[in-house]
Amino acid sequence: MDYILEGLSAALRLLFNLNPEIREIALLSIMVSTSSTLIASLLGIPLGFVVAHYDFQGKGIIITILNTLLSLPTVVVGLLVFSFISNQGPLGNLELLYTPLGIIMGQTILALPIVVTLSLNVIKESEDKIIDTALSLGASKKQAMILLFKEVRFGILGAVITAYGRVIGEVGLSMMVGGNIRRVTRTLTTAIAMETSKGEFGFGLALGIILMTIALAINLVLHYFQEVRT
Amino acid sequence: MEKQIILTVQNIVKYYDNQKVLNAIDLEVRAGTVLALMGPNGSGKTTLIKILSSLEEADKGEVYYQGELINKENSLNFRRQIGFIWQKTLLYNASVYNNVALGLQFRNYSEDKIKDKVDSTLDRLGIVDLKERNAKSLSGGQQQKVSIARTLVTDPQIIFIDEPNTSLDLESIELVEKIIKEESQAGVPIVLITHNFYQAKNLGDEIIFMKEGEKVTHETPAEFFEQREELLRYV
Repeated sequence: MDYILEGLSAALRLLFNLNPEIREIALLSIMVSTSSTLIASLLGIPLGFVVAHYDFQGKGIIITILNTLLSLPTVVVGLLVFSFISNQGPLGNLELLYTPLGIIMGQTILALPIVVTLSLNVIKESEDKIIDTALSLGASKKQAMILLFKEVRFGILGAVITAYGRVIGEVGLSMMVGGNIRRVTRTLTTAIAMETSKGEFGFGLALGIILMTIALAINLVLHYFQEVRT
Repeated sequence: MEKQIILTVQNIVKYYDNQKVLNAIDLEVRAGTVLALMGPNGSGKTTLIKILSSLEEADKGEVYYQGELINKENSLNFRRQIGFIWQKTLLYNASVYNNVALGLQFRNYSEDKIKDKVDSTLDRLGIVDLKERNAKSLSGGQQQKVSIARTLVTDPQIIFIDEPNTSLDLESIELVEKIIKEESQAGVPIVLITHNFYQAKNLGDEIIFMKEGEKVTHETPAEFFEQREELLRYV
């Protein structure tokens, strides 16, 4: 018990003193995860809409693949990205391995199926009814689509936030592709894993508190948009 | 004097996944007339009124509104002449005022005109006090009133009503029936899908009975209930 309390006290000291290394690690994590979630959202939301809205051959297979990708282990994505961006890989000349850009690339692959699948489900669930009702109220097709997006916006925001939660908390991919290099690619999760194994429990705990605070903030934002704004 | 024909439907055929759900439907809807559509589930009633109201396209056949063929070019204009009360109300995540104003906004009415029309319609339905409430937070009966207000505010020239009794309380059912009477007396034709044969008998001027996508009968309630008792077991 003393061990935990001492760790906690060390963690709080580090946080209150705004330890520069902790700040740097937290900012890098936020930057990397925000970038990957943004890219995944820019690609994933339109893709989710296309799959939900249009009927085409192979749609069922695409949905099954997307659902399978939801539970993709982070180390498998790490392995995949590593094979592409390592020196011998097809994208080796871009020198992305052990860089924040490499992590962003991997996290985008991780976040994309989440954004696509959850957006797709939100749109598919309510599309027919919202569009039919809008058309029956005299909407043009364009007005009906605008209304659809207004109605599903909080559901889609939920998809984006879920994806953010997944990437900011992943460790396997960042470790493999980023290499946990101090001041370059060390993120909250890779640092927690390393510091704890080094016996720096207080340092790890301080980073854990930041990670938990980010998770809490994300969920509060989601709750605000889903509950308070309705 | 025979009432003016507002909507004419000729030889409507519709398929879903290669299965014929409507087969050669002909009918006319006249001003101030309540046309009750009856028939078992899956007989094609909802599909038919979706085609009549231009929400779906038929695979074959024509719909004429006041003698003019409805096509892709004029279907938006036609949809702006109709009103639809759905079986399950879908209100948008906005205030009652904004929900009721929506149809007028789609038609590009001025803000002043929208305010006047919304206020008078809310007053007609006795829900002025709900104006600022979020429509999604209302009870089922209140939501139905908002949905009816949203339909009436655009002064529809035809009203389609899909099974108004499903999941409604008695007060809301009475309200829907009152609106049907008021609107039809004002000359607006009503196409009403109902499973309730008392409602069809009391409100309907004509009854169409459908089965497996086909029109089995089209007659007055008196004729229907005298001669077709055997059909009622399907409803």
